[in-house]
Amino acid sequence: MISIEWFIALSAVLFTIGAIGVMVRRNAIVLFMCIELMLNAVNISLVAFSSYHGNIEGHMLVLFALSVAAAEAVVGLALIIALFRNTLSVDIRNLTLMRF
Amino acid sequence: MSYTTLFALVLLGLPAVGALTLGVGGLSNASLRQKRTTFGVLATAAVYIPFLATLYLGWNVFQSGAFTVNFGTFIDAGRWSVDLAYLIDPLSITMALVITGIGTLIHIYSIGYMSHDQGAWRFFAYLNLFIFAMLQLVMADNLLVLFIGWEGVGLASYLLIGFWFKKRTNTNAANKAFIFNRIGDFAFLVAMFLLLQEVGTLQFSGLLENVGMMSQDTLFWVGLLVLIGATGKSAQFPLFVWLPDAMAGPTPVSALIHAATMVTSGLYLITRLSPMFVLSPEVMMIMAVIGALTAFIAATIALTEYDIKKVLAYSTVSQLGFMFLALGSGAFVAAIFHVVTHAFFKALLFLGSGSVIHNMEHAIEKTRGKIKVGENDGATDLDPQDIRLMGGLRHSMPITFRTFWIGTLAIAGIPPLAGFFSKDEILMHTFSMGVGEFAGPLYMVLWAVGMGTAFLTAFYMVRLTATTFHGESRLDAALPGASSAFHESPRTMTFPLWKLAIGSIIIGWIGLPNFVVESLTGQEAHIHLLKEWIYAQAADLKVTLSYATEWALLAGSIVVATMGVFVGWRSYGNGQWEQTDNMLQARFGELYNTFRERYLLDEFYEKVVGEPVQWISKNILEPVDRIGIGGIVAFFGATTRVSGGVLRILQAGLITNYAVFILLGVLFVLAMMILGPVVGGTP
Amino acid sequence: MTTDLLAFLPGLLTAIGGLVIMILGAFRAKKQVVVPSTLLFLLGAFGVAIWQASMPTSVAFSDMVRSGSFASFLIAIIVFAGIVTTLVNQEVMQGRRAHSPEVYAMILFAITGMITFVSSNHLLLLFVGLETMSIALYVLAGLYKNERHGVEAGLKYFILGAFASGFLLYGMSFVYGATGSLHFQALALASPEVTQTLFFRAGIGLMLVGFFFKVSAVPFHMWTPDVYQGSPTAISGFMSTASKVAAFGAFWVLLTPISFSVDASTQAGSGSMAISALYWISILSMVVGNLTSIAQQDLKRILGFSSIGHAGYLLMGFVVATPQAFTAMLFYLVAYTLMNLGAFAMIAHFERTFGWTDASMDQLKGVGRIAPRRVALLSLFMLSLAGFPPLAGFFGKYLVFSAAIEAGFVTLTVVAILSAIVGAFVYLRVIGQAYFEQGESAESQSVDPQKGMGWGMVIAASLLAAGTIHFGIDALMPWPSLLDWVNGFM
Repeated sequence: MISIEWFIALSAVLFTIGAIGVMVRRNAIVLFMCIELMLNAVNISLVAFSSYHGNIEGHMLVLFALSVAAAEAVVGLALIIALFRNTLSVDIRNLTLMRF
Repeated sequence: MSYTTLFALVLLGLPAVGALTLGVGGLSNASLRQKRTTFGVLATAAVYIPFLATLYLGWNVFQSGAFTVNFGTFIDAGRWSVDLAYLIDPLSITMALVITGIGTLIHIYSIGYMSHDQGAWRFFAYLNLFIFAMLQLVMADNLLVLFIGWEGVGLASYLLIGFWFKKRTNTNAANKAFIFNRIGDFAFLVAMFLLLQEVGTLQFSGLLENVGMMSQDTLFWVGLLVLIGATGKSAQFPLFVWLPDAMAGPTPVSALIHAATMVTSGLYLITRLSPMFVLSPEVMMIMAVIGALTAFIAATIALTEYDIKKVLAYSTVSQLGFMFLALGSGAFVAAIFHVVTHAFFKALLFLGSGSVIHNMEHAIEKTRGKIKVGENDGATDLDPQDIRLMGGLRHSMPITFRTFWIGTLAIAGIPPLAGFFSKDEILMHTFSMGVGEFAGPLYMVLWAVGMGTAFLTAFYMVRLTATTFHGESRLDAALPGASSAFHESPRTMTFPLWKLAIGSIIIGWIGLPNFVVESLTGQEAHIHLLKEWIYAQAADLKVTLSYATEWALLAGSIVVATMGVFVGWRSYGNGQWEQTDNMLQARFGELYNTFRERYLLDEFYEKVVGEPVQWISKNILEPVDRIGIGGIVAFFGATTRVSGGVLRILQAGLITNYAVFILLGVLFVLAMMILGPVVGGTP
Repeated sequence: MTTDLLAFLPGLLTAIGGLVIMILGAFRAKKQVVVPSTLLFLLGAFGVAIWQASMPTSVAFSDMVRSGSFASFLIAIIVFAGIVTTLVNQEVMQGRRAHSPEVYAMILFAITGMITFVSSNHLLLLFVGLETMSIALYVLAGLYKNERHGVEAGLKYFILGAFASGFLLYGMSFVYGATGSLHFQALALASPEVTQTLFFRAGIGLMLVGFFFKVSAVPFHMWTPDVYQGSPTAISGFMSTASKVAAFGAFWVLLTPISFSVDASTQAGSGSMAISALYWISILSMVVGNLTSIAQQDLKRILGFSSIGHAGYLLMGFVVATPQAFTAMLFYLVAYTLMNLGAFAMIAHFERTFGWTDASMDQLKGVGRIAPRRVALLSLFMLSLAGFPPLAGFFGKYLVFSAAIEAGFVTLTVVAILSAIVGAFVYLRVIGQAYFEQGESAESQSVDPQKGMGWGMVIAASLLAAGTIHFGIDALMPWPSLLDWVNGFM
């Protein structure tokens, strides 16, 4: 049996990769994928904790997190399409009209 | 809500509602402002309905005694709190009746008086605001609510003095009134602080029950400070100089605010606190001296004035001086009595003068319209308020003429008109103090000054009336044919005149002297109705004179008043003001010139206060402010701006940069959470 | 079941309302139908919330939802903000392409999310409520999808919001790992051994990050001015008030039992485990928010930075953590909602009336001469934001500051007062610009400047102005019951 620490470590590594991705990438779609990665990293840890504690609450939160992520994907991709229509690119460096 | 609370709410709230409605209505729509009569009628209703409410409340008080109406906590400051409470007792009802009753008449009068003025909507809104503030002042159950009214009437007075604000002198007069009042207000505030510190409450009954807690020194200082406050508001020496200038406002304002009501608020305050004042004879003495001095000085100035409103203004100051003399002699009932009678006859006189001025203005303008431009340039600066241009008005304005005479006789103290009873009672109290133990000789001198002033009052009032109404019209000399344009004022103006004239005749009968009956029947009499009504609030000192002395004083008063009228009539009855005034000037010489120059008080203030302050401001404070304080402010301002500019650069607009900041924040929060409390400057 | 549904009635009403509006939109219903129906549902929810506010707190749906007293009070504020936003929005967006019925559906869905958020008694529901609110707000922020500003606002808000949600969810998972439950009560009753663990503390910290992001506290604030600038102005007002009320309310319910009572029992006198984070974030927020607002030229950005500063003052309530401080915080939320909504509404109105292309300060020049009364309204809200008596904003600050002083946080209060002075300068500059600067821009507009406010603006502005003045003069009115709630809760 794999002990819980491994799951936590995996989730932490994935979460960090996602967070760093948000900070270094320039493509809006990749940024969005990085966020999805962060959320799924959390899901791993939740499932792991759920089975560690032997109750179902963590599982339930994962289900809801997944559906929320799906809803976010809808809005996010729609916004990215709108961005593409306006600038013909999905580079977030174009999104600096409002600053300072 | 009980009926009494409801009626109290109407009394206190309706004028405010009126002021707001008229003000907002006039502000919102320019065409609405043209409906001047509607504005006037609405404003009158907002005073008349409260008058009826006061009558109801007064009946309630008469039946079941005084009560308070509490609308909840106004300020809760921990150790002390102040309620938004109002005291409904005989004294406040008396004042409220005067304010709303005479206020109603003056509102009616104003409908006619302001019917051609473009700013009438503003005028009525201000008048209602004044009534509201004045009712706050007299109905308040504690000093703080009273202070709201106190400042409120100051504001309304300021707005109304400067009502015709396009003329520089008017706005200056408004500023002067406001600033001189501020001097008194400051003292009043300090008195309140002292009371809070020493007694811990501002509520009247609590305050007066605990006056015993205060040391003699505190009593003296609180009394003196309240007195200074009252001196400012009620135009007493040496702060009275603002009142004559305040005549720059429309005449109904002079009648309502600067004669009948606002200027009596200082007297009201002292009467309200009379149980405290009687414990401090020194303050009482100062008060009496100020009162007598004011009465005399103002009366002498009034002798030499030629502006009809200025004469009445100085006469008001003089009568207020009488009231202060009454307060200082422990005759609080008599002071309030004189407030009531004076409100009637002085409002009457002012409204009469307004009617005269209205007529003069009209005649001058109408006649000047007929004359071709350049033909008679001397007529361009004719002052419609100058009595030297009047004369002979008795033919063209019979109602004004008759009512004005009634007012004159009332203020002169001819029995059985109103002024006689109140003035007699005041002088009797002063005489009684004169034979007392504390500062007896001084009070005797004050009594003599009072008698002299009573004579002067009758004299200068007859001078004014005779010069205005008798003799031949002198306006024709300056502006040929002008007298044919004279006419009586409209009914909205003459109606209040008659009402006030009737009041000036009969209102004195609410204070018939008790001793008249007592000396005849030998039993205690109760025909002084006002005393029966408010004795519980006014802590009168007892009069300790024999019946014979009182009869003698009564006779003395009558003789002095009659002599004043008689001498005045002999000197001015046929319009011979010029000869008489020249004769007086020749006889009294420099003294007369002193009167004429108003004791140089304005010049004195200018030299002693105005110029040094300006010098200090210009040569010391201004550089300190500009270089020192301004520099510090500029330094901090610049630093702040620069740091704002630097922080702004962080906001580069790039999402990934923002994410970096969020991650830094995450690390910071996590560090704080794991390291535990690391807080600077906390316990 | 019925009692459960009744307890959640405001949320149900707004959710059903949102669906109805969506359907109406599908059938191309006119605005004259959509707006009144939206208002109807919101008024219904408001009435229910007011009615429930007088009832004691109760739980429903197997302890998942709490209703009554405090929660209903927050719901009432949120729904009120929704009503005002609807009134303003239908007027200022008239004739714009983005003005579709779905806007109102999204407002209703956002409110549903907020209601879920503040009613939650379980982290699952908290997350779902927060995300429902956020997703609806992402859509609203990006409403001008054909303009680059609009897309930029929407996408910035979306990416950073989702990023912050990731941290929040991670924090929940940590807390769950430490305690084995997602239930508020279970977290509150966790033993000191559990709460001392690294997992628990880190979990609370990460959840706080989600909270800080929503209330735009420094350094999680960067999105705020950009998003407020790019979104439709009425929507910016909604975002800056309702979502903050929801976040403050929900996190107060969540954090108070965990971090204050439990910790206080183990570490006597040291306050909460989160106090140092809250303390510094609060100071940073008010200093950075107010200082940066000085350098701004755009009215909506100014209000954005101002809302950051106000978040700092509101956070003081969490730092001080006495019943008085929490009560003051709740009052401040009411005041803040009124005055900030008012400021945004007036700017939205000017934008429309004068045909502004942006909301820069220069546009305001000379407007005070053309529309003095409307600028007076704007000035009223600005003065309240600056904290001038006798307006609601003054009493908000006064109550918070005096609670802080009473609890001994002198340094914090001094910093707060200094930053408030800096902030006051900015608000006064706006008023000065409108009244005292000569401007040609407004006068040369082709739009008829005399065109006044429509019924929606009139109702909204008078409600807000009346509230701002009323709570400034009679600030103590809601005070006793608020204090009772807070005491009962702690």
